[in-house]
Amino acid sequence: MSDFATLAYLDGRQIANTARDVVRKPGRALLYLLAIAYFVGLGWFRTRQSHAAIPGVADPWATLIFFAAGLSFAVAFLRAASGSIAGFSSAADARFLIGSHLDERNVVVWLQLRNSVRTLARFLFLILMYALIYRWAGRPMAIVLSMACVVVIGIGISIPTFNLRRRIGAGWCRAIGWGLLLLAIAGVVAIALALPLPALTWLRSDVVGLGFGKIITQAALGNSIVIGVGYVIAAVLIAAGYFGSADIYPELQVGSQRYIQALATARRGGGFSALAQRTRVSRAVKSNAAPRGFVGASAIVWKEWVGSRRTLANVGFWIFLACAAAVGCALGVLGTRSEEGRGMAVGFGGTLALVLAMIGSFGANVSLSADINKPLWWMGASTVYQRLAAWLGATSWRTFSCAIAGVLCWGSVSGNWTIVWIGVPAAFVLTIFIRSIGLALYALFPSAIDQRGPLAFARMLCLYVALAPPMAFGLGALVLWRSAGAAGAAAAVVAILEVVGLVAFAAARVTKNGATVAQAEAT
Amino acid sequence: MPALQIRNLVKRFRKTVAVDGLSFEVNSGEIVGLLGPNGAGKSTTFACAAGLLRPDSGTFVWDGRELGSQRGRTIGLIPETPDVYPMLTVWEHLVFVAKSCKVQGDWEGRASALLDRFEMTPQRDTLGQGLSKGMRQKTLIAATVLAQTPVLLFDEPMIGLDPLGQRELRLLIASLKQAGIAIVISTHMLEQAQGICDRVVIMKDGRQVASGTFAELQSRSGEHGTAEDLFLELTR
Repeated sequence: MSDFATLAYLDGRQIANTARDVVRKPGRALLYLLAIAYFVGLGWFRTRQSHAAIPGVADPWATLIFFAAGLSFAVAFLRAASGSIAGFSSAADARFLIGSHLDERNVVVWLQLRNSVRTLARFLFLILMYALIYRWAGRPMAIVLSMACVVVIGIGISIPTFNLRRRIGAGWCRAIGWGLLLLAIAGVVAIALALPLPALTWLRSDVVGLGFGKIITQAALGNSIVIGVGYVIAAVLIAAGYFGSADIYPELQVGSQRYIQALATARRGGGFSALAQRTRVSRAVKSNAAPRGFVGASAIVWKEWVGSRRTLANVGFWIFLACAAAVGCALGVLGTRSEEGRGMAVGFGGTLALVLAMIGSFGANVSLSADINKPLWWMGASTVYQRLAAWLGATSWRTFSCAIAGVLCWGSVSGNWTIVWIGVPAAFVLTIFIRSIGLALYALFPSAIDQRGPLAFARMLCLYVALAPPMAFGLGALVLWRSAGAAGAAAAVVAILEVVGLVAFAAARVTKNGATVAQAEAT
Repeated sequence: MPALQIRNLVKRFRKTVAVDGLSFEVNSGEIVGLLGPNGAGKSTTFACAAGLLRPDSGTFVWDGRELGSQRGRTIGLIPETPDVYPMLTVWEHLVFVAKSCKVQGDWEGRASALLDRFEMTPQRDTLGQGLSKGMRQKTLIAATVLAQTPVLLFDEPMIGLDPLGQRELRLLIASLKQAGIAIVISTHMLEQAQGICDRVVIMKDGRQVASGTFAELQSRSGEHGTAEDLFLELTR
């Protein structure tokens, strides 16, 4: 039996057993069926619509997408240059494969392909959904194929970068990674800044004039040459990984563990905790005493805060806060220029908030096993409800602080205080709202596979549904009192009541099922 | 008689020297205990031996032949947390090991016999996620025996096992010794090593501070002292 057939047996059996496990649990099976039915229905509905010519993604959006893809490649490069790599999927995977008689290079190629498929499967629901909704952007199959190519290139970069790191040293390799990252950021920022600021139109024209956007437009429309070239690049990277992967196991094992740890941390806290992998373990840290008032369940807030303070998440928070403030200021400047500019700023800010809410909802994975499995978490007199509420606040405050900073800057620069009165509570409530939906769905379907699969889609759907009552009450208050403040307050009160209900539901499930929730997370 | 020799093993993590010039050997059909307090470098030694970590220097020799980066094929590791694939059954683990280690002959018969011997036949179709720690350990041991791995390293094997599980594991390790497998067991609990090991190597701060049989250690500790006294004195 060839090496690849043996590896196919390993992953094939795991997929088959996972599918069998899903089918055996009616709730999970229903979740998957609903997601599939939604896509089939949406696809059918779209195919029945007019067969007018598809224009494809227009510039500057196409160029923006190009640089965003470049940004993801740069991040993959930088991550591998820093010694963190998507290789072995677990400690068991590393031990079984390192101890096997399979050719090391074949194993490395298989790991790259496996990680590509897993990453693609993770985002398939989202890619399909947007490909079907924004039909004008291109052909759904071409978009999926193009995204698959982007994923394979992103994963394929890792091993050659990892080998480069071994040859030229981590410092040089990281420097190259930062260079690539800054180039990609420059492209994204140039276009993003020029969108609300007409004074920078020349910059947008220059960047769009480079012609990179045409690659995206043609790929989404199904140009076989463009897609083919993309796959050739992916194949070259995989081949480079194959030929450079002799005697790589020990470093790959360490890099994989680092990557797995980072993923686990990100799933646990969401958002900024993705950066928490870089702890300052080599330095002695000063023990911190809990401030007065942090007693009972609120000690969890202090624990999360003091833990993240010692990680890169702390630096990340300040960077994101500065970015949010900069975007807010840009919107404020646009809003002061003219009536038309104010309309543009409101439209742009609203769209940005909606997109961020959708992405946030999609990525609002929750993982509590690291907490629930520790006896320390259960000690004390406070209820599970109080603990979960404290945890929710502790893992959300950075996100809503950034959103609030953006809104405050927008409102104060433009001098429009209505934006502040409505935007600040909305930013706070929406962040907590998204996280609490994630928490409630986690309590219902704790499996990590479900979290990354159909639950991502279910979270977005639930957000639409759960937003209906606050919006209805907000509208009702607007009609009754003819006041935006009253409408915002009514909507916020209803949303907070929903949050209370969602946390209570999660607490009831966790209390009833205890550690089995944590165990189910691994399946 | 084939023997595993570890010579001048050094492993650093930045400025910390986890293992500092460690050398010892274990013969086929022999059990050596690697003793030391927490942080002595036992697990790092095992990870280097099994090919999971790259040592800064040192060599691994089996049966007179220097083992390279593929030493994981010769040296099997049963870690303290015996992780298995959660979505693979016990039998599928054995099938994968037989295929990936290119086991020749009637491996299916041997695998079934191993399940019987380890009293795991009822768990044959149980997924890894449903196995207790003891069962996961047995699955890994069965897999390494099926792969005909001549050296087995047990990292803190008794931790987390109930008394019955500990006794079963001791008997299993004794039977592996009888079958001619070279075994190294790491532990920080002297009494566990006393009941099972032929010789011990005591480590502290990555270095070997003593080695020999329990009788030799006893004699070194003086007329009134015990092996435990010596162990505590050496590792304090």
